[in-house]
Amino acid sequence: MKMSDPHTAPPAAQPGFDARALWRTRFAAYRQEALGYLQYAARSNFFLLLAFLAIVSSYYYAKSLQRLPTNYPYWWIAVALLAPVLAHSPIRTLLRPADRAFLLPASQRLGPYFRSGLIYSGTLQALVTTLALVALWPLYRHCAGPAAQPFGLLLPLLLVLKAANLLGAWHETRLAYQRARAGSALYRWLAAVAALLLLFLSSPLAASAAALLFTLGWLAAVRRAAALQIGWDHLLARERQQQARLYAFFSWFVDVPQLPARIVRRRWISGITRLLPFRQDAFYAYLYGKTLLRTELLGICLRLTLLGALAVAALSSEAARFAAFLITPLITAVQLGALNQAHRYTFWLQTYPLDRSAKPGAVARIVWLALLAQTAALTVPLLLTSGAPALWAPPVSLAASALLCGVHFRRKFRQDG
Amino acid sequence: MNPILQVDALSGGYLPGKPVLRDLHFTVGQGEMLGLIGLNGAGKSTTIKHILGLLTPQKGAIRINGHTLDEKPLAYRSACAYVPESPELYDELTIGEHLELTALAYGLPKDVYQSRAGALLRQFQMEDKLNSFAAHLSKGMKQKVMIMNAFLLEPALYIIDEPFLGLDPLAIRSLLELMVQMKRRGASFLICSHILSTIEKYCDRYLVLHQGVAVASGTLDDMRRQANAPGATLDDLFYKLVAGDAP
Repeated sequence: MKMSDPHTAPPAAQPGFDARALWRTRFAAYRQEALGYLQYAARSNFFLLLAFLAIVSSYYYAKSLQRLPTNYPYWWIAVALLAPVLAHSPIRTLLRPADRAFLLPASQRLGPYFRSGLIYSGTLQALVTTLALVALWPLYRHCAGPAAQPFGLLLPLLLVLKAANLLGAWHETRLAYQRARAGSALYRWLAAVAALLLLFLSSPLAASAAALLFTLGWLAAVRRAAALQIGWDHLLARERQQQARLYAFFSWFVDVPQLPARIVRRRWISGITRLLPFRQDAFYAYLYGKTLLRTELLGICLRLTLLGALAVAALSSEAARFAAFLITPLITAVQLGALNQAHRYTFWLQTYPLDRSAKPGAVARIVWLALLAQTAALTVPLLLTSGAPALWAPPVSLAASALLCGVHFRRKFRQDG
Repeated sequence: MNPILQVDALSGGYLPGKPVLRDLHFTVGQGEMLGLIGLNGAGKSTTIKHILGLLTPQKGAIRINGHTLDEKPLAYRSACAYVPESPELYDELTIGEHLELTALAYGLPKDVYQSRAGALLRQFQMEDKLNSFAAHLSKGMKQKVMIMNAFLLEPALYIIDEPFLGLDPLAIRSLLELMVQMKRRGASFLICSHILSTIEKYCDRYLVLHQGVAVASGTLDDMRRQANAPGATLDDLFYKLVAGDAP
């Protein structure tokens, strides 16, 4: 790894700048925020669920090992598990967009900052590597038998490979061109797969020798590639991406305000607003219709519909199918209630020459149409699996949706504004 | 002749008892372009927010075509279009859909919308961005979308807040041409800008705001007389009028 050397660095713009202190502040803020969200995760018994899953899966793991022949080609499982663990090497930098402007003059002095980021990311990934090897261990011992290498040899070897990948990934962020970055990443993945194959099919020595050769080859290739001192744009994009992913995970448990709404074009359905008349009174239907069709709300609707359809198709008792048929639109309606909250901070809605009292009804009508479409979709598996008595379900669902949207949502949306 | 926009004794701001604007009087007549100029924080944007009805006057009244917002809300709002200083677009809509939505909101007939939108998209070289989402546009392109939305409506009154920042030279030229064209057809303009050399060539009258108070107003010649500076440019006049007690 080549980082700026404080001894050869020219005098930076800020004489008192302490890169390590900056990392400490950033990391403390990051940890505090993450811990806050993790509390919500804990409150929802997410960790209990994880522990339960771990116990159940280890039980089945042990049971299936008993039946597994010892000549089973376990190596493909080992490679499929360990190659991503080794090659995927994201680096948290905790950079913020403003850094590109404010830290630029101190570029020469940021070495300790990025080193701290690498140590943090490396520690986490070393932990994951260890866990992966621990998980693999029973299978490995079972299949390799007396030829199995000791844990104390394999773990250090894997950790060295992990460190090499991480340093490679760091240098990758400095490469000037996307094509070079992608090429380097692909090389690391292939090298990881090759080294792991050698490790499990040949010997640790062969794997180490190959890894050394791969590293030398990579160094030779990367020397010629155009590199920046700090790949600001790429680092910031990656940092934003990783933080967004973390927020997306936390959003399972609690509303995460920082999470930007994900907009999907959905060409196959979003053109449906063309059916609206080109008139002033179609305004709210147009805006909120497009909003439903392009945001995560439609994704939720589709997933719930699929889940409901599976339940209606697979459940064995008539009553259970009936219940699934009726409960699915109800859950969907609760989710779709959020549509009314969209655009609440847009001042444009206040400046249009429109009768604002038309909005609650228009939004409620969109929710109703969505529920109608869902009921129609659920009717297909119902007709396929059930007899004549179940045919009561669609009309009941339609009546309930109409009542819910026409009365309850209209009133609620009017109160919410 | 009745003015299109009439601001009478306007006092207002964000907190009761702490007005940002104090006793503001001005009018914008039909086919007239008024330049609202002042330092950052002078109260220009606050004035615009009051006109748009996003803030309520603490004292005084604002009339568009002779009516306040409370008297005839729909007529009041239909009569003006606004180009904000920082573009605000819907994440969920493409550029073409923004234009369509605006046309719906103001009740434009479909054929009128189509011909106007086509012309504007050509003029601002945005035809290939019709299906792009706002998140994928630069600041200048977003600003173009705001401008197209306003000019699509051809309203009686345009309220334009610092329109030139971020626009490329061709777009600035297109915007100025459009302004002249609409003005000739009788539209009125209220324009805030710091680019004094540009608006000097286009505005009929000016209002200089300083710390929430109008310190000078009138044509360029009026202001030259007020500042006792014959032949001065708008830039010189502005400096003379407000630099004396700049913060």
